[in-house]
Amino acid sequence: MFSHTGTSQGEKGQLQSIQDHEVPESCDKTNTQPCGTKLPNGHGGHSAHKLTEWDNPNSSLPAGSYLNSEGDHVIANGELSAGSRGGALDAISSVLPPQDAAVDRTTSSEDCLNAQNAVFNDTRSCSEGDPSLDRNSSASPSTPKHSLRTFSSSTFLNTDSARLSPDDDETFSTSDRPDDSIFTDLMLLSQKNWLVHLQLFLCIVSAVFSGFDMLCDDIFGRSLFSRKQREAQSAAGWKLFGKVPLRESPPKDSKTIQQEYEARASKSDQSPSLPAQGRRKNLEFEPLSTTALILEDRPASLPAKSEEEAQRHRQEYDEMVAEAKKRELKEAQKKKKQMKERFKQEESIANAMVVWNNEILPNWESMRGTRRVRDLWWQGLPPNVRGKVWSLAIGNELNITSDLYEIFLSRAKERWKSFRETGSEMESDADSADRESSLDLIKLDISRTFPPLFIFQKVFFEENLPRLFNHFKSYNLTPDLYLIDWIFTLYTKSLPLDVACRVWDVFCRDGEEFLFRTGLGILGLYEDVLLQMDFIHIAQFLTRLPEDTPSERLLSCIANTQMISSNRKWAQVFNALIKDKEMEKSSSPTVKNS
Amino acid sequence: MQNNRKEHLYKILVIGDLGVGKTSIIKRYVHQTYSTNYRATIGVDFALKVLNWDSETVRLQLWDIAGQERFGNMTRVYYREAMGAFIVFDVTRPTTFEAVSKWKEDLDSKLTLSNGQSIATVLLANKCDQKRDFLTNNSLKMDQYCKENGFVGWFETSARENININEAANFLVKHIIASENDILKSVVPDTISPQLNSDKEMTCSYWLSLD
Repeated sequence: MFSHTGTSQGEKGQLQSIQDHEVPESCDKTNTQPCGTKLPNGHGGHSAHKLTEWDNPNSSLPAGSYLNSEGDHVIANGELSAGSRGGALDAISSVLPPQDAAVDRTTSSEDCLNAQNAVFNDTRSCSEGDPSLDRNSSASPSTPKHSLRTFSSSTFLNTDSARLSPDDDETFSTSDRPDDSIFTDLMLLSQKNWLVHLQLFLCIVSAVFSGFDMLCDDIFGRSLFSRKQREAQSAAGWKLFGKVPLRESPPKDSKTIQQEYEARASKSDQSPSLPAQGRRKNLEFEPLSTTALILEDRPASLPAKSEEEAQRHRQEYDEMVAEAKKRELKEAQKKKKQMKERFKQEESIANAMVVWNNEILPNWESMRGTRRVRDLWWQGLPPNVRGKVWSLAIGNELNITSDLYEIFLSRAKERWKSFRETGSEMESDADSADRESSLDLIKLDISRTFPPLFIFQKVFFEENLPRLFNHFKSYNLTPDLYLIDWIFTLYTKSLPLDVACRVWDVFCRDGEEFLFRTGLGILGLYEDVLLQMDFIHIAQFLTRLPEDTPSERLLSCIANTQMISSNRKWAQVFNALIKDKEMEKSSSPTVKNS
Repeated sequence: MQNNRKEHLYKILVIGDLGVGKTSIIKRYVHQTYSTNYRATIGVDFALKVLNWDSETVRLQLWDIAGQERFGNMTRVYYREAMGAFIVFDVTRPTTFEAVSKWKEDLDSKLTLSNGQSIATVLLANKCDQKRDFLTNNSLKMDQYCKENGFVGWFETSARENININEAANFLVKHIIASENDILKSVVPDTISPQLNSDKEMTCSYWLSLD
């Protein structure tokens, strides 16, 4: 796990005291462990402390001690995907393999996290105590391994940031396993090089927020600081020790984190003292100034970027920006469109509601059949008049009161119970006087549903959708396989609830026929998709229709469905069929399986 | 036929009384999930499981058929062209076991293979996690019962604990393939089929040529 190569006690002591000073609330009471801040859970901020300390010239840190940049691996919350989320920030991070073995390192810690918390197992080593910002480690064989273990993520230069997000800001005392617990090893640097710190810090912040597991500093190149680094080795660095954060709150997904980051970052850019926003408000995402820093030249005290490198950074940056902009724009447009549609819909619902309440419902009997009402009805009943309209449309021929309903319900339950206990149908047969109300009726209802099923297949399906009909036929996929699902549940199983409600609206108006018409509408709506599918996929598709089935388009497909066969309407065809059935007087009430 | 792999497509029925766990077994088998929420199946649900069977591909079309009495009339439609079946009962509810023979009779009366045999059927004693002593108490009796009632075998299963589900499915597939070979043997003398095409022929004869 950890290899402490030559950390002197003195250094340790110093570091510890520094930490205590920095993050007093996080101190381990036993004082056996360094204290630290929680690893940024992709958010959270301790930068207040750090920045404060950062700006605080520390006499023990010589000039030229830097935040180690070579191996900066952001210990971001494992939830963050190392990947594309970050968009514009991508280029800041490039994973650097651990380089040479630690040489002369004050402390090098490896894989400190993986055992303790898988969330962080992408974390790389850190070198605590490496005060130098080594940009040349790859070029120099003697370069020690550097890594920055952790980052406090917060808004840059925002000394209030720790306060800004109290939820996210949890400090921990280190765990009982110190080696596993290091997250915040920040090399704090002398004031002179504050700009470098800043840059690094911003990179860290960016990366943490934008959802990277790792951040390696490729931006600054690797060929800059080897000289410095040597000098700096003897210098004590600053460390912040942190503990593996427990998952006290559900981890945020990387999207949220990014949004928070963007919101916070943009806020802090403008006014550091404003509280961070949980979510960014403006949808147009401008790549942030933090990112733009990569374009800047290095501080005068450092060797300049090569032209080639600068060029590459510019190009990378442009690409990142372009991509991020594109993506954000697209998302924003989509959202805008959705919102617009929703507003429109809500408005029309609101308008319709007024009409229903003020005009139609008071004059129900006279108006229910008018063209206008029928059209409004078709467009979908506003949710708060839906119940009234449904019950008016269904009527109550039998004058059933709720008491009566309860009585029948309990009787039915009793009967059902005894039926299940005996597990036979004898019960209901025996009670022949009561036959009509017996459970047989349920079965009978199913049988009654079959004739239309037959019509559906033979007549209306074939006439409306001949291509699909033949496709289904080639797989021997008969409508009973999906239509039973649809009809028995009145589409509540297969269709999303909102769409099912629309179907029920018109079902209450037009009756059973509409259920079959809906079936044809669904088949029509998805005809192209279904034509590409084989049996099992069609069957699966039809028994569970897509969650995003668009009600408007479905309704218009239903509207386009003609329930007329050879000039006969559904009811005529249906009645003719029933008559045929009765003539047959077949022993079974079910349709013969053809 | 991609990669020259032989493909088999088998329709498998999963039947049994209400609430014995048919849907859960399929969910476990196909999606590796289990949910304690109960939702009655209406009509029939479908699932597809693809197996690598030696050097061949076996696609199992699982028909999860509603256990409710009210759908009893429909079974003939659902049974059509099936090659194998699971009949499931719930070890904690004796009535569901009593219903097993009804389901088996229903199945055999409505469906036979082209050689007149009934399709390969495996009996599943589900929810065995809730009644651990089922096996020890009933093993012999169950063997006997299967012999008498024409089941090719039985398994105690648990969808919740994922016990024996894969085993039962593999067992069934083995029997389906065996019975398929039996049929092929009886058919082969009359058939002259080009060797290259035999794969396709076989698949087609069982599934694709449904109409």
